Amino acid sequence: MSDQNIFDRLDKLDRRIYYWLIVIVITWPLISPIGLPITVKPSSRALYDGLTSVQEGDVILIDIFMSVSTWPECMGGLVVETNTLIDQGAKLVYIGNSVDVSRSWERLKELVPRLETLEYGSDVVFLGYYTGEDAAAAQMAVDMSSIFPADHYGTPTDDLPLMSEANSATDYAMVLFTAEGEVKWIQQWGEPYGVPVAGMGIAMKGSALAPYLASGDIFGLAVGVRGAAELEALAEMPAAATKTMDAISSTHLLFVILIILANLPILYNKIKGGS
Amino acid sequence: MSFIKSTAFKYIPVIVFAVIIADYFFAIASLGSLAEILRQFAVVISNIALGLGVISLLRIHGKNVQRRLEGRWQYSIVTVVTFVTVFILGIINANGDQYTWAFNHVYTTLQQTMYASTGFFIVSSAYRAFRARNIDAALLLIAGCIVVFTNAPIGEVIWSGFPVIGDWLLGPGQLPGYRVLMLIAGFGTIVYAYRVITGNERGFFGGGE
Repeated sequence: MSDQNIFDRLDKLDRRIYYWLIVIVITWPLISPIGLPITVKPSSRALYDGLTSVQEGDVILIDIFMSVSTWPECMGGLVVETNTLIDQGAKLVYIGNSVDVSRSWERLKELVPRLETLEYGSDVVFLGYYTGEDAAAAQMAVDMSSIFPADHYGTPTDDLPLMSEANSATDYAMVLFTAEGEVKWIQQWGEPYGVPVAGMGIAMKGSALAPYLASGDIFGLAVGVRGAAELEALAEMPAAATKTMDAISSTHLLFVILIILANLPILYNKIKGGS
Repeated sequence: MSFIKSTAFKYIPVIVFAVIIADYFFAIASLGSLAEILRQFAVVISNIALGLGVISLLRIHGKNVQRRLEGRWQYSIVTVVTFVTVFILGIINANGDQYTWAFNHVYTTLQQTMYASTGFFIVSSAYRAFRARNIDAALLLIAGCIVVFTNAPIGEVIWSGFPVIGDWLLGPGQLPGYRVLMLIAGFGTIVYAYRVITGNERGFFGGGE
């Protein structure tokens, strides 16, 4: 052990050290927030502008694709979307392609208590879980009630006034996807019926969604916690995502420092002329 | 059986493809209702697939327990018992307190813990694997670090150029490559569809050319 220099030690650094470092750099900013400024990206601004351009009475379809594991990334953005749309007087139809969509819906109601003040069935509806991806989206475009004969609570959709006025794609002013599932909405609602599509992606989906944003297939996009924090900043309702951004900063900094440290032994060996 | 294999299996996909494609691209009114029925079929089949998944899960884990597969059978028991318990709770009342409790206090916490723990693995793997052993790896590393600093507000605090370069990398820098990938996947889908339409692709029937 005494023969090892600092570079050898770095090369064989015990993983418990950086595990503990992660715990510290995540916890510290949550206890003592730094409040670094967040610059809003044009794609997030476009999404927010789209939300604020919604007219009173417009019906918006919101596809909650996220599972409970992706709440930290996408729930903040969904909360801002919901609050903004309620402010605009929009009517909201929620569906979800994730098996735990009912849990996400319950959590959304906890975070947006105003949802409970809306008249269920007339201003807001939760249709629940669906399967079938593109086939389901294509069928919803012509007849929602054929995919959702009843809402999540078992009420027949025919008994829900909102669903009688919003039974096909042309009745909707916008589709918002959450986390994933953008392609089916672009292909089955956006292209054939001209329904504007936008939404939020998890951080790793950012580059995959960029081509759709550049081509105009989606008009706005918020990516990851950063996107959610940008929406919170635009809506002036700082919440969980804004608080998390400091932890994102500290962990990302640690990540880069560790990569640099991991590469020092290689650099040292190259300078020394070894392998 | 031979008629089903030789003829029906060959022409059913052809008809389905023709109807769905014609309905999507040409919006032929007379085909609309037939396309609707086929799409509803697809949704029903995908629901049946969930049931098949359940059978498959129970079969695999049942066998693990039966054979006392070393290091696995204990986990298989947990899987089967959990499945049966939650299934029964859901059948009794999917909106009931017990089912909701299991969902909220077991599933939700486990899901979030699992997702959060990936952060540790990412850092661990980054430390061990992100090594600039040659110029290509070094370029990839530098680009990765710039993108990391683009997404974190601290990057802009350290140097205002990080978001500028990072946004370029995420936009014009990666778009051509990603578009090529998407186009290739699209062409691949068209070729696959052509093979199905012409009856040359029957792998999804469970084997054969």
